[in-house]
Amino acid sequence: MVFCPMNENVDNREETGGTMRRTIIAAILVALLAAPVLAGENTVEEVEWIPSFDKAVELANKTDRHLVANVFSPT
Amino acid sequence: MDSATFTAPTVVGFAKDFVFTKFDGKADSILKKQLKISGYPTTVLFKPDGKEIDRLLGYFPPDSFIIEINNYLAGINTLDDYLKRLNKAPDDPSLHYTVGEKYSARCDYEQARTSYARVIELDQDNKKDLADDASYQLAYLARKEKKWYNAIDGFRTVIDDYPDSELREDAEIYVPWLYAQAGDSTRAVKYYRKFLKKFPESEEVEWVEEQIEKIEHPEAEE
Repeated sequence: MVFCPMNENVDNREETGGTMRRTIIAAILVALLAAPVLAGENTVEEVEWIPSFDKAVELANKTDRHLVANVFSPT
Repeated sequence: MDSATFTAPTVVGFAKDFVFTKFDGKADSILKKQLKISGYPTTVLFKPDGKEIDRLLGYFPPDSFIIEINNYLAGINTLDDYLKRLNKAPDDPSLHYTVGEKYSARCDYEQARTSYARVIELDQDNKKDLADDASYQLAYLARKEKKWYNAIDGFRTVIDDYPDSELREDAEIYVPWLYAQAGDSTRAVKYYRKFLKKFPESEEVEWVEEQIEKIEHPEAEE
């Protein structure tokens, strides 16, 4: 647990090796993000988000698919 | 969840078999309460019929995200899975600890407290390095419930009972912060200053000095 009292954001990244891991991840991300730009594309594909939770529940049920709901805080 | 996870090609491909949705827990507090969200980010996996399977609390890079979701789909590492394992090994403190975390992530703080208390009973000398963690979590649950003085007592227990714990510094900094939340500025400053004396090399020194400044000179904030 990392001390972060001011908000409910969870930082569960391990302190040991965290910096190395983040550096590697950052390098991979740069490569992944740069690839479509270098190929002449200027958009990064992202998962398709259903904007309403209720509609997502309905769609999941209708199409017999599992639902993944991500709850975030912008701060 | 970090946006990098949901733009990773492996996750984008993986997601095509699912329905994905997201919402701001602070903007939609009703839905946040309905889903019993205890922290951000939280990712909840549901069956097609809307029943929750389990949830991920915190950041997961793309590969870990896929592994964990697949585990949950296979019934591995879910709360139900851990409860079954506990049935077979009821005196395993690590299982009780994980169950405590699961309940805490669902805002089921009563059950979480029971689990953490059991960890402390089973790992009395902290030889498995779990009792101090569980004690810390008990204090943290009180903080989550805004029971400031209960939380202060809880973190003092961590400090007194586990003086060599890696969590001691965090517990020491929580005490003045909690006093500040309770409106006791005098004690907040006192214990912030104590922290600075005990941990002069801490990464939190600058933050602590800012907190003291804010309390002693609130007009400067306006």
